[in-house]
Amino acid sequence: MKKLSTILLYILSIAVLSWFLPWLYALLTPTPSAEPFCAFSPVNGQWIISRSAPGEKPQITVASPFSNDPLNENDIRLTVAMRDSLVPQLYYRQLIAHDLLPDSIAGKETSVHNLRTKEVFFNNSPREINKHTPGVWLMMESMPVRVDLSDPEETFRFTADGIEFIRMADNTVNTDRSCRFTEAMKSRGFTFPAIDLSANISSKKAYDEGYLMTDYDGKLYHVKQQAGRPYVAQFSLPDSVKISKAIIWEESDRSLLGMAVDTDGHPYLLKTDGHLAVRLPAGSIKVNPRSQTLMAMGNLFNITLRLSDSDGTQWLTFDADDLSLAGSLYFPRQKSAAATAARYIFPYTLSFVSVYDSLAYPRISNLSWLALPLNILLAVILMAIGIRRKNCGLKAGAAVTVIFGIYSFIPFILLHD
Amino acid sequence: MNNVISVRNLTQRYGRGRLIYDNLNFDVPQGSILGLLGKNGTGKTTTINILMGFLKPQSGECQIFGEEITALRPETRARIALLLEGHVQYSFMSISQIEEFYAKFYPRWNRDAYYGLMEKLHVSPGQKISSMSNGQRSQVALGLILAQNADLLVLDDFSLGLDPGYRRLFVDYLRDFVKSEGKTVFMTSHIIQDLERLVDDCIILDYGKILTQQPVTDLMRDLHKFEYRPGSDNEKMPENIPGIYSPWQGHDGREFYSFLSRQEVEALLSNEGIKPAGLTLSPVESLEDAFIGLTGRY
Amino acid sequence: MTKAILIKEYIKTRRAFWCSLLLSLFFTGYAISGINRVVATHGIEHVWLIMLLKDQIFIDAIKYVPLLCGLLIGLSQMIPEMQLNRLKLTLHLPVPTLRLLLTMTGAGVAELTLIYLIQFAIITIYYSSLIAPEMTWSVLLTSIPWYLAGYTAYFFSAAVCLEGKWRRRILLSLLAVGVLSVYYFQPIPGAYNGMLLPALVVTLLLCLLAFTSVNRFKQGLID
Repeated sequence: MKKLSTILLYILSIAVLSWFLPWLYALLTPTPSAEPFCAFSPVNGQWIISRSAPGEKPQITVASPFSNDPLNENDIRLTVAMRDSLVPQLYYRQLIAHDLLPDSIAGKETSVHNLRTKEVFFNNSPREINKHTPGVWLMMESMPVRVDLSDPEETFRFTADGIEFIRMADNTVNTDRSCRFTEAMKSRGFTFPAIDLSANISSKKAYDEGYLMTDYDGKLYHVKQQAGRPYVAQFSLPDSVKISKAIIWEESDRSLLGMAVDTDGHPYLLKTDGHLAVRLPAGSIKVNPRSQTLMAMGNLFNITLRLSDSDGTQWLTFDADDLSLAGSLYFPRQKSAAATAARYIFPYTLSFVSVYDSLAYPRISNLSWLALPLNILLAVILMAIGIRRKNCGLKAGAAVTVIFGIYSFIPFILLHD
Repeated sequence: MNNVISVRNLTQRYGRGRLIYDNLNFDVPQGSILGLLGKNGTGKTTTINILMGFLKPQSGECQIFGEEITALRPETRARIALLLEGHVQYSFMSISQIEEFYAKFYPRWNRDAYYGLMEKLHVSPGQKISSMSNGQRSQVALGLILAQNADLLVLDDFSLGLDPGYRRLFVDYLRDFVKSEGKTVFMTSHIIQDLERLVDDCIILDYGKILTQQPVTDLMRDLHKFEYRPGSDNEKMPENIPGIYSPWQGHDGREFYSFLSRQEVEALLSNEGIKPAGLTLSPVESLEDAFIGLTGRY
Repeated sequence: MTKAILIKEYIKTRRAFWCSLLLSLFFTGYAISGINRVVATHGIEHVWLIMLLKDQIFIDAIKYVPLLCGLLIGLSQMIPEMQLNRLKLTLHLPVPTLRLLLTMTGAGVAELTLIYLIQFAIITIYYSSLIAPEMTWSVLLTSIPWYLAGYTAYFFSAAVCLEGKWRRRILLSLLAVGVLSVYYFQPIPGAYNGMLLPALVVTLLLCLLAFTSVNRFKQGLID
């Protein structure tokens, strides 16, 4: 018991230092973030890349649609005004202010109305997906009696073979609505319970499209409440395709409901009319909203996706008309000098939270063999002290330090008698 | 006679620093009342801490009732009553709460012994120990020891902080108890007078060693104070002579203590070139005199 | 003997126990009155909406209360043991050290558990009348790490108090801050659901820390 309690003390110390030291190191060595912003130009058919470091002027460069080295492909430097003209879908307000917006680009009328109604700007963080949900969801009324949307009055839960609505006012089950929705969904082939749901619950938005629901079999449904009644539609997808995640957009462009990703990482654009799910030809690039921060920018000319994770950022752009892949760029994550140095100091990093989820649990990352020389050096120091003081604890600490490095060296130095 | 406490080759230091004692050996026979005497810092409390398992010695073996002190069985602990320096007790408890508490641990608990003593204090059973005077607290601690009815009593500096009345009360009660019950006592005190009334045997510790261990009566009988006038002012002091303790230069002459006879002392001094004029020998008057005689005034 | 030890521990901690209970009830009442205020001003639906959309559980006011209770009871229980090295008296009791310590910490844990259960029950009963059981369950699960933090604070305060060396006390306190902060990293409801069981095991093992401190005390490692 005596040994067990001592071992526990050392394990705790090593665990605490395993997150504290890297956290402190990161805190003391802040690195500026200079993530490039890319937009695909319908004018010249090239990527326009804007970068700005803190305190510096923005650098605007041009890269070909499938460039391997987009930041250094050429020496062309654009001014802000030139960039505005090349990506009018984003900067049309500035162009109008200077009376520089052309009537048409690439054969498409570039009226403000046209540009605005085709706008999609959607961000999705894995933190929003990877989180605990209580298993109760809010249902809005998509077709309110008055013009404005109002806050939902009921929530729903899934039972083994149906959906159950609960009146929030008195915390009781609305049996009528539950039966109606269950029947409507069953009649469309919905297999209960749903494994994924996506909705934007807010009375401040322009319109409501309810939920994109993935049923137990991976089939994708559009479910909403219209005048208190169920509206259920299934997206047409091959039987072999199983949806893992769908995201509803509800942006200005009402023709697009959102996007979905299947279990193989293929992205689909979800069209409102006819509930079509159109696969985007991303090639070998996998999309996973559960591990990637996703940004979607749609406009009159193209639909651009940005997929960002700990390794780097992928930009993809698809033609708005035929949804063919028009461009693809990849920016591997640049490691700062401090981060590189950290690999020689810390054999691994322990963290409990992540930018990619809203959960807390221990996770080990940044395993680095480069820290082994330091580990061995620290172990030798411990062994030398242990031999000099005839302390078996320090000798054991030396063995542990070969693996845990600085994380175990400090507790063995500080806690030994 | 069985030894209740047995200490062999005990060596202890303050941290990595000063040696407290080296290879200390002593026994406490069953039924004896042994006082551990020594100046401040000679290791009295350290010895008790080691014996009670609150301090791991650097080396050596200590046994109580034949068991290693590092592995004393709970049943053996129940046979030992411990009085901490300053009569420390659970002062957050009341007179009755503390009695009820300890009673559960000791099979031979004598409730009457405790309350008999408490009656003399004129305190109510509900009174908290923390609200009592030092003297009253010492009586609570003593009452608990008497009630425990242990075979061995270990008392660390029981006279600390007590006025003469309470010291006398404590000593008288304790003496009657241990004498009538045949208990073994191992105790320390910085007030030697108190021990004189109580102990049969004593160990006198000096820095790093035992000066003597013997019955108090033998000590008082065999130790003598020697006084003489030096042959000249420059005559050396009888220092560092084995058998001669605490040489001291007084106003009227010099003095020292020794267990040796007059003839043996004269021979020793003569060997050192000291010619004592008017060497007189007198018995020590008290244990305190004997203690000072062996350990010196400072 | 066990009963005697439990009574002794209660005598030491009774003030802290009742203070902690009152503190816990006060903050629970405060949190509930906050919800009642929202219900009165915006309607009950608003509570559901905020809970489901804004990741709020309305009982943030009690977040650090279990931690505070753990500290209060731990300190009130162990400080008297270390004043004047009174622990020597306790260790001299004819009881094996491990059993003695487990009984002592068991008393503290029992007091804390009673306080936590009362608070937990009030929250459960109150929420069950207002919101769906899934949401109530989610609220309760979200609060469990705070209670684990309470037990952690208790075990660490016991270990720190029973430790005899100031240097080690400081190190143990820093370690306690490190371990406790883990329970407050992620404010999102239900974030800790996945690690509740391992966290519970670690928390229970923390009772051994006091054992380490006492063993050191028995070796004489005291300032």
